[in-house]
Amino acid sequence: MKYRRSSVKDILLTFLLIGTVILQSGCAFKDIDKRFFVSAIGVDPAENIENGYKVTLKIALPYGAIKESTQPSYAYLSQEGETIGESIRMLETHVDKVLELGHMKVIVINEELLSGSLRPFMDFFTRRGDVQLIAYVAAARPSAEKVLKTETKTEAPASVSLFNYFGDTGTESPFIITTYLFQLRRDYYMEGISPVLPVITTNGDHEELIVNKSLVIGDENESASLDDIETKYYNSLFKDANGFSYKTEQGKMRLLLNFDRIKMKYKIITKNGVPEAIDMKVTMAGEIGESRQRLSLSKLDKYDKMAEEEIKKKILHLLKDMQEKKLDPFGFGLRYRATRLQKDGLYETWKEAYPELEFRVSVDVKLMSMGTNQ
Amino acid sequence: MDENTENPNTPEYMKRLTKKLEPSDDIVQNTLTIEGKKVHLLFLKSVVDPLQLQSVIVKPFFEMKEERHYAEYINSLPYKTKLPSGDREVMIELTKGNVLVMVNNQLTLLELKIVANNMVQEADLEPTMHGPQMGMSESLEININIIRQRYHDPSLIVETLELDEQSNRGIALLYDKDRVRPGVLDKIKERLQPLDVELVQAADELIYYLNNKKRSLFPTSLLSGRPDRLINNITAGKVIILVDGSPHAIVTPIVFFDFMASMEDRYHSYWIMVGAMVLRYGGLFTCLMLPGIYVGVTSYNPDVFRTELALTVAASRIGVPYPSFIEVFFMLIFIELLTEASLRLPVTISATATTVGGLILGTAVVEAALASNIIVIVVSLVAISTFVIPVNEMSYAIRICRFFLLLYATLFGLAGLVLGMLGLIMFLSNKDSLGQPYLRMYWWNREKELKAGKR
Amino acid sequence: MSRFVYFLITTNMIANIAASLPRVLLSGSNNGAITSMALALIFGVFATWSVIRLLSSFPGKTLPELMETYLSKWLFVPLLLFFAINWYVSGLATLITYSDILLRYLTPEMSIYSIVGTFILFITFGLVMKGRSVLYTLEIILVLLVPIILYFLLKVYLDRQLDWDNVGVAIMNVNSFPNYTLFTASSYIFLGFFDMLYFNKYIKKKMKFGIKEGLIVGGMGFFVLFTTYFIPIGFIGFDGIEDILYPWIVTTDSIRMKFGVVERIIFIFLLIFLAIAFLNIMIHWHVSLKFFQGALGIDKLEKRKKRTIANSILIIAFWTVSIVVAVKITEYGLFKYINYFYGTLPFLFILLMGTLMLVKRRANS
Repeated sequence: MKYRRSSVKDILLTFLLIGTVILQSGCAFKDIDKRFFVSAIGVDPAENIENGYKVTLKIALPYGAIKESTQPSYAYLSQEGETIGESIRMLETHVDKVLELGHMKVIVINEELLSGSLRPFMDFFTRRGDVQLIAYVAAARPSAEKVLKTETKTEAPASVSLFNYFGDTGTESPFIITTYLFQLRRDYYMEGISPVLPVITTNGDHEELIVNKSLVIGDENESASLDDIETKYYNSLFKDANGFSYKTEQGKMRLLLNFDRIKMKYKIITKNGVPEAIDMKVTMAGEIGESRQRLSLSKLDKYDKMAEEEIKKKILHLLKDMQEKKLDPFGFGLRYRATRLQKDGLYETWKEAYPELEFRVSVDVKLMSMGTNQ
Repeated sequence: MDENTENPNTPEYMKRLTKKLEPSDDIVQNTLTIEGKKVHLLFLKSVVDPLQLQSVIVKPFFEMKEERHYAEYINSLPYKTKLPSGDREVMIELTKGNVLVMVNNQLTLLELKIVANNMVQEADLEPTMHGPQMGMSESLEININIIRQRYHDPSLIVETLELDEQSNRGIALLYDKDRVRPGVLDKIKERLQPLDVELVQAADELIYYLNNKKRSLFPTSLLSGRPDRLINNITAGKVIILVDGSPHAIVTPIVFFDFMASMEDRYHSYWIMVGAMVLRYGGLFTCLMLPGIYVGVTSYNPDVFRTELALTVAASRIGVPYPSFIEVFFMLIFIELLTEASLRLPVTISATATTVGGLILGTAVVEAALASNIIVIVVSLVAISTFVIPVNEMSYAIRICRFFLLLYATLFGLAGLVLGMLGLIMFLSNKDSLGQPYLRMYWWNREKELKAGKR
Repeated sequence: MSRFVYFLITTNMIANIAASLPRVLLSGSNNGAITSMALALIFGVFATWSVIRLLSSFPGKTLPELMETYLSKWLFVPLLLFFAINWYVSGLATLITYSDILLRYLTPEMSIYSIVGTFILFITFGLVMKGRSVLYTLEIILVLLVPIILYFLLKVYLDRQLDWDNVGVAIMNVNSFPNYTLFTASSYIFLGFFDMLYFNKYIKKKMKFGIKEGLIVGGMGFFVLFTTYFIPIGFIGFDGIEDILYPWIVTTDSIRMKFGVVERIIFIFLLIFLAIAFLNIMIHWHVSLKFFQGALGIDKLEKRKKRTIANSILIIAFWTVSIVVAVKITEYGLFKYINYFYGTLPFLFILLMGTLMLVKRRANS
């Protein structure tokens, strides 16, 4: 008796399962070969529309036999429109497959667009659920389209070389700053820190991509460019980048120092509740990488001193430069807010005090060895 | 009829039985006489061991002086079994290989049977590298002997029953009376008694009737031919059911995790065992979910992959004319056919079948762009991981379940796959084997914590 | 205390990490979120303690049974209905939030009917399941998933992109008064003990709630609240976080697994939290269904057939309401109504305490 009932229930349940399944046949089903993977997007100012954008998409094409092909193949799509979303909607009518933005890992934006408010085009990327927030954002010089259309010689099939520059995926260098989309958004909206973007340039004949400069974005002020040396310092001190090397010269002496450990600590000194100085302490440890003369172990201390002075000068230069331009890529203001109890006008106090702030930097260099020979 | 009852019509009784058994050719009704001594024998010669008959019954008869002595001798033989009352029961005993002896007006049943295939066979159902290599035989007595000889404890109870079906097959319940779970025994007997079937041939078949449901997918009793596994389960408080004529025994009640355990786990060092376990559960999840993951990812969320992988998968699908789920479905069916075919074929041919089917057809299918390379990899991986599951019945059930998950992934993507998996877990935990929950963590004393209650 | 009690509490906590709680909390990030959370922590542990203490004097008894034995009918039916509806709504809120999340992040093209339909299909199975099996399912799924969750939480905490300065700014906002909505929302994560009002039936072990248990529950609550509130701030930033609809999903999208097969952790997170949320809905509705059955006297019906029909009607009502609400509600509406729902929580607690105390007094006399 007992099992007859339960078997009826089983059958009912099975019918229920299968029935609902058949009724709601999946409409979101779309095969992978019916999609185009947009691997990078470039945004330039429009040439024909005022305040519009020119959107360039770089689409990685799947290639029949990956092992045999030597060159990757890409398709490029460009469209002008008043907004980015609109341009992409238009581009969807230019291709036969669905444009899939889920693999869009690089967002390249023309440098010209990166001063003033970023809101109009950042909104598109952060509002869509399918755009990765771990996409890399970079500024392009001279134009995003040119950067995207550069096909480097070292590019392998079924991979996008633009990806490898960032996030320590492929190359690792203190000259390359990695900024993720969520980071850009966070730093942009946060009061007390200015976002920094890497700048991608191409060489004369468009065969190489070079990433070694960066751009500090000002929300209210002008954006400012950092050259390669400044980028290196910024990256090593504030972003914990490895592989800092430094060339020092004194008379005939020419040394290349490689630092593998860099520590930076700073403290904001206030007086009567008004910030007046920043005490910064930098310790660097490393070894000698290259030298023209024979070196002596006993003189390591002397080399330390040599380096300290010059590094200190460079750091001060970077800090002062940014201070003059009223930019704060270091997040001093953020730290100030994070260490003081919230009250009205706290950040305003900081903003007023920042241009007058004094920087006290002390650098401590410690060379641990001279490499493999004297 | 009691064995010591005096009955003047004894030869009549013998005759009656003989008549009932006729016209069988192998019936022997014999009366030995010498010097006034007399003994009546009745047996079926096809099931009785003639050598034993000769040495145990015939020879002493001619050597003993008095009938009285001989009667005592017969009465003290270890072969003696209980004489049932009623003609039919006695006749059933005779068909089992018992000899009915009447001496001095005293009836005795002696068990002198010969079983043709009582050889202990190799345990081929669940082969292992280490541990005992021999399994069970097809004779009930020898099987009981095998178990008894490995479990020397007076608390081991052997209960023999006779199934109420056409062949009157003997079955035996073995359990450790100190360890067996209360209530389980009653439940087993309750289910065995009203067994309403024509014929039970083997343990494998009896399982089906033990299972309370007409339609079920997951096995609720384990079938094993390995004495070590049986002993192991007796120690764990389970009941073993042996069926005469079957080299496999039923272990019940059983939980899901028993199907994932191989006896070899006991013969390895701890970390090797852990590694094997991880591998096995990895295989279980792979063969359940991989087809679904493939469909869910390629057709709903290609952004789950890394870009490079997505491009490779997309490239391998170029030219494949139908959607991914049909591709997976066809290839899975193909693999199932291959497995099924190589099972049925003799060993020598099955290798050829696998080669032709797996290698040649697989390559050709990819060359002809009827399926992508990736799916060939996925399907072979799935097929291989199915074989990692140590117990066959479970692996059948899992093979079916994976189609169910594939269906859900096809319709609802990855979310459907996860929900389907949850549904499967829910289904399994709601199932029970003789009142014991089927799927549960058994890591510490459950009895104390949860009431094994009704709904 | 039986580990199942912890399991019930844990599921409820984890399910709330990714649902609407972070949004409610973060919308008040400069409006007393921290103080509210601190208060909720104390209140939550106290509530768990008091209910479990009261319940432990009735081992093996469910709330409907107790109420029926000791309370008069006109008191017990409306009260039980109120509890049942409240718990149904709490499951419904999770259901709709997760359907919305799935729709937004996992399968944007799918229809809302499909998503809610699939959920309901499996939940229905959970409703008709034996209560004991619900507990087993809970245990197995937690055992499978909690290690993965812990691994990813560790990964989140150790991520280099997690900006502790932003967290610092959030902590510096401690000096504001607690807010009622934030307080109720964060107390809500402790409400796993509510399920014990039914599952008490299956727990044999005597429950006790001493200092050790209080520390465990409080510790878990602290960790969950801290993670729910501060981690998104560390990734999304303190300013401008109010605009984000699902802060925790955005947070998980901000984490990159450099060497994983799957680079974007968000998918793994979505699927794991989907499973936990599913469990939570299933448990809440299971309890709610039993309460409804108790209140409407369905389990007292003589004929089995009648009972089945009444149960089916109840379940179909569950379906209809959830589908209608899921289709009709807007995101803003969801947020608003969830806030209202959270607001009823203290009343729920007071009523529950009152009932239990009354039951206890009558039982003693």
